[in-house]
Amino acid sequence: MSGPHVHRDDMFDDDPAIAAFARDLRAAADAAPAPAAGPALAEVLAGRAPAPSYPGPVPDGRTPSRPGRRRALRAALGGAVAATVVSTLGVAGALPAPVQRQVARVADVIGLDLPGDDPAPAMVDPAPSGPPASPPATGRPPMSPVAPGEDPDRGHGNEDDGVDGDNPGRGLEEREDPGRSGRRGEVPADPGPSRDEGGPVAERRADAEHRADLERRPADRGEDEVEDDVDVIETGRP
Amino acid sequence: MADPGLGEAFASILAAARTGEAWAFERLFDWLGRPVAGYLRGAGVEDPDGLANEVFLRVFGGVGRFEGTEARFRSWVFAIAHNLVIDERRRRSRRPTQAPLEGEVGEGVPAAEDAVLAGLGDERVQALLDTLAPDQRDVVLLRVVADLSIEDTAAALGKRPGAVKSLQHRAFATLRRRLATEGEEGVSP
Repeated sequence: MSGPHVHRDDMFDDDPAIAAFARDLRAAADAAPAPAAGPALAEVLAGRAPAPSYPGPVPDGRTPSRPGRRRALRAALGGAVAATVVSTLGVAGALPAPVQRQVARVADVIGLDLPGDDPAPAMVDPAPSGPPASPPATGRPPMSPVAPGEDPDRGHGNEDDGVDGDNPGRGLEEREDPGRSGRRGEVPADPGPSRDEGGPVAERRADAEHRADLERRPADRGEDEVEDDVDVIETGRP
Repeated sequence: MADPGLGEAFASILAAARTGEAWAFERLFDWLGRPVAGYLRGAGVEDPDGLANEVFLRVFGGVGRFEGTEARFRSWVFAIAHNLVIDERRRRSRRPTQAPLEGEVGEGVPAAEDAVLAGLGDERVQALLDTLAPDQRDVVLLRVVADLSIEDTAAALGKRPGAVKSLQHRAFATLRRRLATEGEEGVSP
């Protein structure tokens, strides 16, 4: 069993028992009679009839196709189809809102402007003369910039916006982008009361601002200080 | 005796076979007829000679489109043989088994296993092969009887080389256990 075509490298593993078995198997195969040509094959071998055409696969010199390669091709094809569908729906703005935003954000990176990533209308002037700006009509209720109990230094972590709370840098980036806050339904910076306004309405607005400020930055303040401020607001006395 | 292959003559024989030259068909049949029949016998087909004829009719019918090396040609021939083995196994699994009538035992057409034993001429070898799962047995037969490399065996079976190595490893592990058991039984009184 040591002919040039026997692949001993990884077959026998230096195992004498397996080598002996392979030797016996080969000897048995060699000792068997060669197959006799039947009538049809005999005609072909004698040149009296052409061999019937074989429709099956025949190696044609290219790299043989293997199941793993076929699977990889199928996966790539599936991925391409999925990408095409998502892109088409994204361009049409027909994806669900969260997905649309993600797609638009990715497209924005490569310079494509898709619906869902449009910057919000320009922020109102910090000291406008008109009435306060109303939240953009997103169909969602306005959200406070930081939910109660949430660490204000971390990202918002909203599932919808894809900003992971574990990625504070990203969240900070989002918060600092004035064009994006309106897109997420947040209330733009309140310009405050108009110079012309005054009286009880202005006072209530100021109180609301103060309360929101307290809620927004509790970690930066001592508990006593916060309680004092709340007392001031509730009693109206310093 | 290991198959020395056709070597440098392969290219001219292949070229002649592609144009339908009968002498080239005959050379190819002489070269691979015996190992193909040996593989079919080892795989347990009922009519190894008839199936070997079918293999070569298909080879000669498709050789006009073949391009590749001698090893690739050999692998292709055994791929055709393997596909026919699979077809026969499927047919046999669908066929209802019939219990032999009284008095018929030992008189009728021998069972496939008996034919294999007679063909290989070595009951012990065939008994060892029978301990293997069909896909393990195919790998062992293609590696030993057909002299195919891991890659060519993988191409013939439509599997990845890693899968063939794994099947071969498991087959040899099974054979080792069996051979060890044989050894213990042989030395025991």
